[in-house]
Amino acid sequence: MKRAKVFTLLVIIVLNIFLLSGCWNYREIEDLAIVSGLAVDKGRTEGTYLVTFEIVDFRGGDKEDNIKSEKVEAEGKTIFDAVRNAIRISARRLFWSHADIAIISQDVAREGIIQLIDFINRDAEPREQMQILISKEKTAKELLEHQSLLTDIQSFELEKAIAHRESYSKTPGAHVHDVINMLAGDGIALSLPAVGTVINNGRKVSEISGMAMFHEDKLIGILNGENTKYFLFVKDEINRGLLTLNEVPERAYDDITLEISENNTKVTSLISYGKITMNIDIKTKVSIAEVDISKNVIDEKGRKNLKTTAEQMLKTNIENVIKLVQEDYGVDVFGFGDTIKKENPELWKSIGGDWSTMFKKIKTNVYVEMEIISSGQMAKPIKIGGS
Amino acid sequence: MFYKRKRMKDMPKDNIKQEENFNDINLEEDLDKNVSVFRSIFKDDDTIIFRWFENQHNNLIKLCIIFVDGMINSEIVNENIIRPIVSSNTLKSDKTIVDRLCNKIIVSNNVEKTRSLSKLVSSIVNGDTVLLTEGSKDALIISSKGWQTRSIEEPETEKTLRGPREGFTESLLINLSLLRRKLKTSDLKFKYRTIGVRSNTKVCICYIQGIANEKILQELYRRLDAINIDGLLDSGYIQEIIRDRPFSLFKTLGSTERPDTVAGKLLEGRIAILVDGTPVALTLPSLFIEYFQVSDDYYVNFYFSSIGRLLRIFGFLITISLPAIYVALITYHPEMIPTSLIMNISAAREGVPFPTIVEAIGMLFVFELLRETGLRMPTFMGQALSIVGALVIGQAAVDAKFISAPMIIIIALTGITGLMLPRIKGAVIIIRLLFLFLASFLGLYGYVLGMAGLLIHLLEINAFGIPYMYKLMQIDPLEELKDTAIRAPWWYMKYRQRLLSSNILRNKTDRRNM
Repeated sequence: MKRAKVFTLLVIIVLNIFLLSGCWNYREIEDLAIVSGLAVDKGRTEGTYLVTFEIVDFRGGDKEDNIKSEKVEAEGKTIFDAVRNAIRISARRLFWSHADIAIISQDVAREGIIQLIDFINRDAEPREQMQILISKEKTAKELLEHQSLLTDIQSFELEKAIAHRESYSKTPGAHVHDVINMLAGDGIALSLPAVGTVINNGRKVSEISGMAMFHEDKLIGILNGENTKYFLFVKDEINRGLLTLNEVPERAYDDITLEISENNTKVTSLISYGKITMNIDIKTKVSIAEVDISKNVIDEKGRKNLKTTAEQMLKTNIENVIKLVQEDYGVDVFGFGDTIKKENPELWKSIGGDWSTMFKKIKTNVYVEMEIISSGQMAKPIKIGGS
Repeated sequence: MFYKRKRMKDMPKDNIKQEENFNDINLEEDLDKNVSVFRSIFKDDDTIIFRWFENQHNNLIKLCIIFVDGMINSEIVNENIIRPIVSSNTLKSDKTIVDRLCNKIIVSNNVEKTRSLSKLVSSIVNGDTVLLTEGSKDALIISSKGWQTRSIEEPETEKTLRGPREGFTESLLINLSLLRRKLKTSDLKFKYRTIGVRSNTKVCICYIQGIANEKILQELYRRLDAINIDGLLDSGYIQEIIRDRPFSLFKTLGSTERPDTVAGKLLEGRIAILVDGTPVALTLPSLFIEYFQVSDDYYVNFYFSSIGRLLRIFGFLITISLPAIYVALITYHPEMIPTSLIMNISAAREGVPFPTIVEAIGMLFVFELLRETGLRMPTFMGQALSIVGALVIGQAAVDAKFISAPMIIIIALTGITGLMLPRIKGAVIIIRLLFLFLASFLGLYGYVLGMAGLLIHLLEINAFGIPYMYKLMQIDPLEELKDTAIRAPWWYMKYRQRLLSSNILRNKTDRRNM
């Protein structure tokens, strides 16, 4: 009898735990405004940010073609201030976990991006998989406002374009956690993908190409897409992508395209007589993907020719890019300092503090070894018969 | 609960059966007196027939048979009892007449001589014929049972793709013969018990001597003997009364209508209980894994049966978890849903007036309503149900924005997988609802909490002294896992389960000899 009473009381108390605690964190999914991406610009008054959010708009319900994107603009003294101010406009709480990209305007980037990175990393909702992009245009906002081509949400389309960068290899990728690693790392400078506007079929669309280089967290300059490719060779971030040989000055081969199928780059430091030289060994496997008919590149001689020309072309271009970065920007986006630090920590201790000036003078040797492994589905070029 | 003490006081003190004290009454030599005793016992019962007759050669020999109309085979009574006695010309009216009747006159396979009145009364109501003779204190009980029974059919609830098609009937003797035909050994033992003070139901305990675990058998007898109930109309009474953990959602006695299933369980060392008047037999001890095993598993290819079992286990997990996980993800952890999916769900929920949890509970309720209606209504009304179920609840409710379409999918999947395991249906409904509540208060934490509670509960149950999750939680002998979530080929299953049986070797087939 007494046990029954105690049991009943216990049940009542336990039930109250659920009822009194309320529904922790309970929120209906349709009350959330799902943020797909954001753009950070300078605010209208000094020292403020203008943050533009792209949110997913479901007003049409679940009928077809009714998911659209909507933009919300909010100004604030800090990023988070702007985020909270946005609720005043959108009425719904912004939900960050599905946000894929953040575009930063050049004006903001020149003053430092650490504030945004800190917010994304510190707040519980945004993910570290978010892609950080730098706008090549005047503002970041306009890139979000372009009509997306195939999907309904511009941010998701940009994110997909970066995710598929392997196929064109003209931009680096940078998730928030990569950005933090690069920012915190010694002997490596931050590089972020850049996005600009192009006209496609009479309409303005966003195009990802090139990269932005930073000194600490401040923007220094932007490299174009072609140069970025050779930069990626040094960083060993090439997996696929193309090499076109029509850039060779003497035009020995016209319009031959090689598809990279595998690439392996090894950067080592060589210290002799107090001088540091970086050796860059590039081993790449390519296949012939598009051939002009004027010359035979398939037979052994032709193939050998092609190989040396392509190797030479790659070497020159890479050397040019390293020179360009060293002379014009002077930031070690290649991570040479990082290599030295790993290989020779003692040396790094003495030169680390002075690395930014030292980097500009450092010598590099580029060795390229190319292997042509296949010619696609055809052995010989298409013959054109006499007419 | 708080009024228990008061109610106990009000209860009448007497027994569940008003004691009919036949013991002090004995039969006398006077036939008229004896018959009048029976008449007074069966007062107000018009189905009792008293048939007087005499021998045609000797008028002194007067006899009376007593039986229940409709429960006897009249051909036996006419041809094997009345005719030989009436026409016999050797009968003499002396003290040995009863023995002579028993041994020389009556043509029956089962005749018993007795003086006990209570035994006579019980055999009359059991369908036997009682023969009283003038001038004798003894009476004869002549077996003459004969009533209509259902023919042997395939059980509706346990259809199989392959395997025997016969099922138990309501007649205990037919059921026992079905069982005996499958296991032709003298080790197969049938022990009778009579349970039910008013129903006097015959209960048969079946086991194979040398295989069944003696301790479990003794425990079963102890529990059966403790039953003191007025009537036993189905084996469900026993199942509910003698099970371990009476308030648990899980049964420790299995039930089946298939003789081949019972035979299979007997061969595994289990014990079966057959109850007169019901086609449902009980097997014990029943472990958790048996919810997912069906007799087909042992008849079809081991690959298919293993897939089938995994599907059933997966279905069980889905049916208890899916609504809870859905509600937890939607309302607490939207970051865990893939982006494109959350966009679809969010768009579908746009404009739905109810919170997700109300939607879920409502739809579960509607599904259970439909299921129960389908079960209870006459079959010829089935069309109406499918129209209401499919069109009104499904299509129209979504179109009218009462319910979001993803919720319909979730509930449909939950419901269908729930129907896959009819034996665990009751437990599933309650667990599912409990998980749903926990998830709606605490999100995934609540769901995990519920799952942990369920596992702890399952692990602490003992079925007749054997751990309920036996074999599922054993890793050490690989032998024990061969007939669990998967079924190994027959030539691999060499042993019975260690705890269940006193003789574990069951199969010495060597594939290499094939």
